Amino acid sequence: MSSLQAVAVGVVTGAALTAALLPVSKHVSRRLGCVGLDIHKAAPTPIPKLGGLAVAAGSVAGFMVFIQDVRIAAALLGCVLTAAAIGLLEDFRELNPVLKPGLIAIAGIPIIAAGIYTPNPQIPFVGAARLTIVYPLLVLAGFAVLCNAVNSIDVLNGSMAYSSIPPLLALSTVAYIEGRLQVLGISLVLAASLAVFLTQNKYPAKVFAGNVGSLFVGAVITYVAIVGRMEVVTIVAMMPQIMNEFHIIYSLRGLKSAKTASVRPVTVENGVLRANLEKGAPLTLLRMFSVEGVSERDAVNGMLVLSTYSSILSLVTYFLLIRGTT
Amino acid sequence: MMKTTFRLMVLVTVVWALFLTASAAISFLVLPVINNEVPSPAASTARVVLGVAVFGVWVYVWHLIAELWLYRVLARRR
Repeated sequence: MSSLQAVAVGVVTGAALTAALLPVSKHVSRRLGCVGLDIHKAAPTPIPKLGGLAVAAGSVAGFMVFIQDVRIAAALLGCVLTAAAIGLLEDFRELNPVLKPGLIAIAGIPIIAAGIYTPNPQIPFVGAARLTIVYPLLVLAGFAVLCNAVNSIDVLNGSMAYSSIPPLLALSTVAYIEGRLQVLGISLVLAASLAVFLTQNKYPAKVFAGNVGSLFVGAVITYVAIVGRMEVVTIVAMMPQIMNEFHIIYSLRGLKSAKTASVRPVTVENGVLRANLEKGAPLTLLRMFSVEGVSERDAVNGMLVLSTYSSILSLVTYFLLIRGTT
Repeated sequence: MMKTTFRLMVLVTVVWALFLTASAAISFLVLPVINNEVPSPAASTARVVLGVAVFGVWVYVWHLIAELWLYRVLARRR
C-alpha cells in the first residue's frame, strides 16, 4: 500500500469510527451528567457535551493507520491526548483561567522530548530563522495559544468544527506540495472526523464538542504546524480564532474567563443574537458578527466564510512569501 | 449579514498585513541578536528594546483597529 493509499484508509477509518462513536459519546455524556445548556436558543435545552471524545478517538485511530514510526506516534499521541485530557477535566470542573494556558502548554513537551521539530521557522520577507534555543519555548506557547483559540471560538452550534476545517484543508494543501505526507494525513483525518461530527453538531446541535473536543482539535493543528514546518501558514489560517482569543484577553485586561465578564458581549432575544455595544463588554468575533442582529445559523455561516478567507490568505502567504525560501 | 461578513474580511486583511509587517520587523531587529551577529552589546540591547517596542505597538494597534471596526465600521457610531 502506498503512503497516499494509507492516508486515504486512515481518513476513512477516522470518519467511520467518529460516526460510530458519536452515539456512544452522547450516551456517556448523559450517564455522567456532562451536559451543557444551548444558551443561544429561545428555549435553552441541555445537550450532551462530550462529542469531542468521538472526534478524538476516531481521529487517533485514523492517525495510527499510516504512522508507523513509534517515536512520532508516541509524540503525536502524547500531545493530543494530554490536551484532550485537560479539556475533559475542564468539562467536569472549571479550570483557573490563569493556570489553564500553562497546563495546555504541557501538551507540547512530547514534541520537544522526541526532538521532531525543526527550529527554523520560515518567516515572510526574512526567510528561515535559526531559533535553536528559543524554539522549544515557542512550541509550548504555540500549544497554549492555538488550543485556547480553538476553545474560545466554540460558542455556537458548529462554530468550532466549521471554522477548523478550512485551515486544516489549507494545511493539507501545503503539506502535500511540500511532500510531508504524515502531516497531510493527520490534517485530512481530523478534517474528515470534524465533517462527520458536524452532522450532529451543526444547528440545531444534538451534541457539543466540549473542551475535550476543542482542545484536541487545537493540539492537532499545533502539532501539524510545528512538525510540518507550517508555523506562519497556520497563524494566518487561524487568524479569526486567534483574533477572537486575543481581543477577549485584551478587553478583559488579562487571562479571565469571558463567562465572568460583568457585561455580556451578546444578548439573545427570540433566537436573534445582538451585540452589546457597551464599552465594557468583551470584544469577541460573535459580538462583531451580531452588531445588526443575526441568527445563530447565519453567524456560524459568517464564521465559516471568514475562516475560508483566512485560509486562502494563508495559501497566498505560502505561495508568495514562503515557498522556496530556505 | 453579507455586508458584515465582507467588512470583517476587510478587517482580517488589515490584520494579516499588520502581522506580516510586524513579524518581519521584529525578526529583522531581533534575529541577528539571537544568532550572535551583532558585536556591540549596546546595539544588541537597542535592537531587542526596539523589537519589544514594535511588538507592543503591534498589539496595541491590532486591538485599536478591532475596536474602531466594531464601533465605527460595523455599528456605524460617530
